[in-house]
Amino acid sequence: MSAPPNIEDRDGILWITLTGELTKEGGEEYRVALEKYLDGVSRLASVCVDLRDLTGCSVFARSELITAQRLLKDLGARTCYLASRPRIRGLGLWVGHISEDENAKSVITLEKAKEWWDSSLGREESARQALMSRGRLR
Amino acid sequence: MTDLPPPRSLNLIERGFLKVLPKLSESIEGYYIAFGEEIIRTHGLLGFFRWAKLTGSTQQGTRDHFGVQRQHLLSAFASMWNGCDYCAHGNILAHNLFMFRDENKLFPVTEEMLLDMHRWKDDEILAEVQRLLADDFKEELRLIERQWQLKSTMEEPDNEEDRQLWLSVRQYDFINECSIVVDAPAPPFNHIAKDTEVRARYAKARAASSNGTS
Repeated sequence: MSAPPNIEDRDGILWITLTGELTKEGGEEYRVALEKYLDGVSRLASVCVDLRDLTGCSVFARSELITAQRLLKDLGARTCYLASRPRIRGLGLWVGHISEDENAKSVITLEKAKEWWDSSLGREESARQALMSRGRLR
Repeated sequence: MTDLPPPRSLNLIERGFLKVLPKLSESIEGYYIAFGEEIIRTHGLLGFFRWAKLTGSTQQGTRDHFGVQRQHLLSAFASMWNGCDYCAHGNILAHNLFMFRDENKLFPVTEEMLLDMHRWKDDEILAEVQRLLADDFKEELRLIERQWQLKSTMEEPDNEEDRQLWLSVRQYDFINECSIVVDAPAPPFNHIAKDTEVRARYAKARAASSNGTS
């Protein structure tokens, strides 16, 4: 069972925290809370969806995550899904892909999140360019 | 509840290509990746070929440096860290089949174990992999640990091996974009998929091992 979502501004970053097992009801609660929070907001820069204490997500909650991500996309946000479990990072990647938001990415650490917020390339394009660069030595 | 958005419809040529692709791929490669449709949906037909060329050349580089067996090991872990169980499964199975065929060994990280690990925390996964590999698979462990370091920190490649490990990570950042829509299990991602005799012997050895009879 998931705890209620927490949505707050942390030093100019919209910080969303989801914990526990995200159920269908929990997903709806998150989407509704985000819609309410963003009411009247015309532009967003950096968003962190903190999933470090999320342990799972029901298939029914996933569509709510997509709707929520599309809200963030429409406001021009650059979103990080910060997660400490591969399965949850996969969820963040899936949400970014299905919502067709190239500015949403799963990351392992806050340092990587900051790097993402400071960059401008899309998720897939940055991966493609990294491959095409063939990697540089320090 | 909101519904998932419908995926982009494929055009006639794309649909026709997708009809022959699985059979063609299985007869040439011995396996078919279940996310071929998603690659075409995302990149289009020409993009599919560009995708295959780019990933193929990067994979060849990793293979030239580490050998085919370890290339699959590194691909399996790169996928797992991204949360793609399909590619993690297909690659660890290929790695485990090669190790079984060429060295007559059963790798301690089984396909099922790697899938299970997707739910664990990163530090728990690393601790378990270290426990399983520390005694007899030191080189595999060293590569996995270094790959993780290059994935999870801001550290940059320091030598040619590092560069190849870094590329093994970035390759799956790119591939998993489309593969994330499909779920494990996967076929072994290698021609070894065609070797039904080895696959049967491996399955039997695994079963015997898990029953404590080997």
